[in-house]
Amino acid sequence: MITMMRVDDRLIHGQVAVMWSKELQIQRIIVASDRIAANELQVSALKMAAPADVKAAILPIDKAAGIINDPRSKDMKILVISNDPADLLHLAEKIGERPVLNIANYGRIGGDLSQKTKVAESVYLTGQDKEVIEKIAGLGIEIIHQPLPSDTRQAFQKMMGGK
Amino acid sequence: MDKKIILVSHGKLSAGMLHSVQMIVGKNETISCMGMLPGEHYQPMVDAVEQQLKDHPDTQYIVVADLLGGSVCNGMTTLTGYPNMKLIAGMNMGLVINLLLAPGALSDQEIDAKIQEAKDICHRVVLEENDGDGDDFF
Repeated sequence: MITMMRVDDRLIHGQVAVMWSKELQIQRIIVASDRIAANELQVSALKMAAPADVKAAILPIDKAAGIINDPRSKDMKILVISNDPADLLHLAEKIGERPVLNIANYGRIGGDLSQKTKVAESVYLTGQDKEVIEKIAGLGIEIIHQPLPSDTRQAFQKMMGGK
Repeated sequence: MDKKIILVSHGKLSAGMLHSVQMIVGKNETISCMGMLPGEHYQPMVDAVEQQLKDHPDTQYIVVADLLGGSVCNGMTTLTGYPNMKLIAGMNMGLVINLLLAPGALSDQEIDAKIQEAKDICHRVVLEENDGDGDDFF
């Protein structure tokens, strides 16, 4: 079972690897991205960044969906991460589960910040991002903004100016 | 028993460490810092820690110093007679986070285990070749 999905530019880093893994008692981390899974250097670096007691897999979307749909995943606590909401939309369309999606530390790198909408201290969205996020919500997935477990859990779409 | 962590160092290392650690764990009342600036003596820091030890005998104070044998650490050794004081030398970010995330007061054995973990994460970084294909996922 996926305990939480996360969109984060920094992928597996301190806040995620240390704090959320501990808070949610995560056993596996999946980075789901065709682009990242194809980059050997990034795969090695991400695997190293996982906590000692958590196994990390860096997988293309199709393969990630296959593993999540595997009955053996049912009793595992899995954290799924990407640095692009579109990856998690594509993944969500291929799996039966509807886990919560946490978006934090997203959009500050890449693209022109002045063309993006700031929706939180660490979150900047393009128009395309917003469409993707609405589609994810349309699948019945709750979307929140909570960088750290100690932060307040906020409804993401409200922050985006939607519902 | 409650626990407090006090970071002590030469200069601004302890303040910087506190700032950096809070980027990962968030704001936290358990942890504080003191630094000895150039030209200062460590004694005021030692006195301040001693005052806390006396005021709160039911709280464990884990003092994490920057450098074994450095004057700040040396000054703090004079307080190790207090039963509610533990002194660790060799501050690093992993160690501080691990101490902070462990709930409540820590036994000597638990502190030693945290120190060992911190030693293990201090190493030359070499990327291992692997394909990340998830074959060993289950």
